[in-house]
Amino acid sequence: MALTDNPTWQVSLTYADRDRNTSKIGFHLPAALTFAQAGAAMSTVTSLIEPLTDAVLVAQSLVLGQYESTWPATPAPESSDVERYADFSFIGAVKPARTTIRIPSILNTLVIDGTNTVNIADAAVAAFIAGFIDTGLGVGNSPVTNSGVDLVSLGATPEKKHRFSAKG
Amino acid sequence: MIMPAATARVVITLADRDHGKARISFRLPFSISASDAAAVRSHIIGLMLPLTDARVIGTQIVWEYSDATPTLPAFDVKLQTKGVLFYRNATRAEAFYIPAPKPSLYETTGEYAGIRIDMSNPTIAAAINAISAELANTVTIEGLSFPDEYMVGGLVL
Repeated sequence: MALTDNPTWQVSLTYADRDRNTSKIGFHLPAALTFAQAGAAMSTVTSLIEPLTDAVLVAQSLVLGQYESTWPATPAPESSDVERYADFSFIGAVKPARTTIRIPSILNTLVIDGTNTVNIADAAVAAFIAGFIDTGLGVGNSPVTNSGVDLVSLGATPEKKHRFSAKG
Repeated sequence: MIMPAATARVVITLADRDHGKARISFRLPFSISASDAAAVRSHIIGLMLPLTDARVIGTQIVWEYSDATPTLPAFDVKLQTKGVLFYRNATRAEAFYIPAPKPSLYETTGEYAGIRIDMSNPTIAAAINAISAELANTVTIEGLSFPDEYMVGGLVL
């Protein structure tokens, strides 16, 4: 695997008309800029566009991306199938906050034989669950819910499922 | 007023053998630095890979801002039109687009009336020059310097 950093920040600006139809434009900034520097550059450009347009800026985003340089030349193994998946539901520190992570192409070896239940006692599964609750990379560096509530525990035991299948 | 979202979004795209694709996304505190977000992304991918035989083919870390109650423009704003500014340097040309450009930007007489940006108007020229100067600090999608010579600008339908 060779995930390679994109050389740029991708800036996207969304403008709206009276009826809330939207139109997007974008530009790029050097990836070497910090988040603060990229944000400042984005603000400068939007302020300079403002006197040139009749539309209204309603959304903007900054994106840092990566791409896999060896794909599709080196594809996933034959056993892979993204329509086979397992949902990991995590509960936030404040109810009812929760979030679900769907792992595609979950390995069948991680599913308890004769069931669709993911074996959460497996070391790799347990490490993933623990890492999602606390990455160990410092305060403020662990996944949260959409509203920013820290994730503190696993919800229901994850099950293997398959799209369009009543069972897993 | 444009406000930051509560969280930043990490998107991981995976593909199976048949190029079927799936996306995982999770959230991080909006205030996280780019370098810390990248470290968390790598950490989570490292924990996830032993669970799947799909391949990670791309990732994104997205910081979003939005205005939930924008002051909407007049009824006659034409979002279907765009203005385009063309730039060049010794090796390439690039375009920069402006949504729903003000009709007052264009020349008012001659064969390009209503079409070409009027650089003879000092106010308009100053605005175009200001944005051109800032765009010179940006890069192309490949990470190359954005061309710094303004060529021409006009209306795109």
